[in-house]
Amino acid sequence: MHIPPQYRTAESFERDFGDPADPHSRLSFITALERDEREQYPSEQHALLDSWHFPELYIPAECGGQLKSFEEVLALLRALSRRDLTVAESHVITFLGALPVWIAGSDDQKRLASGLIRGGGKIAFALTERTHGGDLLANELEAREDGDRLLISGEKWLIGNATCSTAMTLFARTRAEGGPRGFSLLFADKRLLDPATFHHLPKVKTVGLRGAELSGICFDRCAVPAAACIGPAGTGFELALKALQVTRILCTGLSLGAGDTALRLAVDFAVTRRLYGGSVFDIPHARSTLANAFLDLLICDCVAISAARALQACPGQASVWSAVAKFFVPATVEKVMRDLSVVLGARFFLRDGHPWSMFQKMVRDSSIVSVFEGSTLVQLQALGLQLEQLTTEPARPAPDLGRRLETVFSLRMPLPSFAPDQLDLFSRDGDDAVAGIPFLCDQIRSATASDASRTAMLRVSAEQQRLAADVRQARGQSGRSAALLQLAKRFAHLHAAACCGHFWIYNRDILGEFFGQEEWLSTCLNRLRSEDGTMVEDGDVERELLDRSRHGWLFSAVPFQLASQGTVNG
Amino acid sequence: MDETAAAAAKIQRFLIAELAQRLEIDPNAIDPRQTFERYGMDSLNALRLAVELEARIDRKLPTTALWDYPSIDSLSKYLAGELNVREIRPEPV
Repeated sequence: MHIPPQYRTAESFERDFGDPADPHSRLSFITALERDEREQYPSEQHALLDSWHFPELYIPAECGGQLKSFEEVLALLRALSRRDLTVAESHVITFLGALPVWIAGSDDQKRLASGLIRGGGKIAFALTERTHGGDLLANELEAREDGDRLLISGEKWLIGNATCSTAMTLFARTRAEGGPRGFSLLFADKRLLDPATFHHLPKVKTVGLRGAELSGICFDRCAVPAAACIGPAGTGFELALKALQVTRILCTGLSLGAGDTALRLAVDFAVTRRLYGGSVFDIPHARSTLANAFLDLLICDCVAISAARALQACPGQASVWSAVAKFFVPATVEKVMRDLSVVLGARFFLRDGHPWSMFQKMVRDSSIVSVFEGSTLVQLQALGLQLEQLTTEPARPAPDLGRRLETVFSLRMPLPSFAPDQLDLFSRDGDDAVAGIPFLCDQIRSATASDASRTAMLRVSAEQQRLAADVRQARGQSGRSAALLQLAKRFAHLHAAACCGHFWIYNRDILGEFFGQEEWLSTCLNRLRSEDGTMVEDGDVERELLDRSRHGWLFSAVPFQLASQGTVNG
Repeated sequence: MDETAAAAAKIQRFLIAELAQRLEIDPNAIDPRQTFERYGMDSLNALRLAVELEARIDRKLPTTALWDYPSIDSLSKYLAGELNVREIRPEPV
């Protein structure tokens, strides 16, 4: 097994923070649960992360930080989120707040943002308003020109860290008539604002992330310098959408971390709980549920890791990769948790009783990931818009497609530096993962003698053809029609299947014996075909699951070493 | 009329016909100075139209072109002027 170097930071984080099931570890489950009950903001935990230099990963290398690889950040977010999603979410908001500055900010703004992050300050991302939800172009908060300054008036609501942040990236209407060029993003240092011209709104009570701070801010002719505008005036809508392409991919790390803990707890429970004269794990349905949850996490992994790499390998396609990842991963992890709750029985419902009570916290905390930063529906609409281009097979495949696929999927391949100027709102090049399906069929045919994988891959290829035909037939449908969204969903599943195949082809010789054999692949491909996921009973998958639990390896295609000690005995 | 203005006029006629066909309305009912949005094209569909146009002009067209040139009139002048486009190829059947 060769764990690629981009996972070393996450492994060292694991070593330094210890086993979260141990009450004495630095980010333990028990303190997470206690804070959750008190709805207490995790300031102390943030201070621990800051002293570990976690925020260096939020600052790009060219601005003096350590952010070089989104894949590395994804892995680290996962290691953090598996301990406590509340700590992770309320900390990583700063990265979202700073992203527009990294993408389009001035040198001064970049200096200000990186200095602030290094000093332990938080940056909020104030996008949404009380009455407009995801309808960004209907937003009302305005920034009106007044000489060499802008006067901000209006309210932002349901903003993470709105109150405790030092600075804020603010989405504001800068042209009365609005429209896609009628908004700007402003970077406002709250310490420099006249306190008489703004106030914070109370923390909103929530079902999950109860210790986090979700609040709002209200401005009344609050002055900021005109230089607070990030990039040219009028580019705020475009810039916000581009920043979201990045964060929609990275936030899958929150779901994946939660999914890992949920599965780890469920396996521990199933192995130790005695029922009917044996363990829960001895019950075939329970065992199969756990194994299928593991397979679902593997599929999510192939989607999320490749999307994080695609941000650097093919940023022009990020509109597609981010929409699929944000649609597919959080919703699948939510489903995994529902499935696992059956194994836990009544334990899944308890807020008392460590350690199983961590399960319900993970369920509550992670349920917001599929909603924030563009809901599942918004992602399907984004895909629906591009479906024709995404499913039309080019007359000739791009000559460098093979090399491009290798760059995205092979974890050994170095990635180019992130080039934010190449992000685009619509992918001119379609989607390499899906375009590469015919190529992938050939590769799998020569790589394996297994009929199962070949057949599963041929079915994926047939679905690609069918989907293209169905999209042609649906031409002219409105982007919000239910039929088009259903096609978009099929596309997302096709992309996920393609990611699994490519991931296997390019990494089968480095990621261990279980990953190298193709059984998991054919099973996952078949699982993706059916709406409810075909249940499999597979001894190899079950054995691997127990092995990983016992050794404390991540339930992932890249099973790096966790600090966790499973309770599973030989 | 100079060459650029002639090209702009030709592109404008083409875009009017194209939009009328998509909306299934009479080309005479389309005012080229009105915004695309007025004719029911939201900001996201404007991205798609830009990509479709790009494939028919052999020039790189920003995906946000219709945000910056939000009417048939302004878009035609931009295509003919700054991008030196002389004609838009009909869509392949």
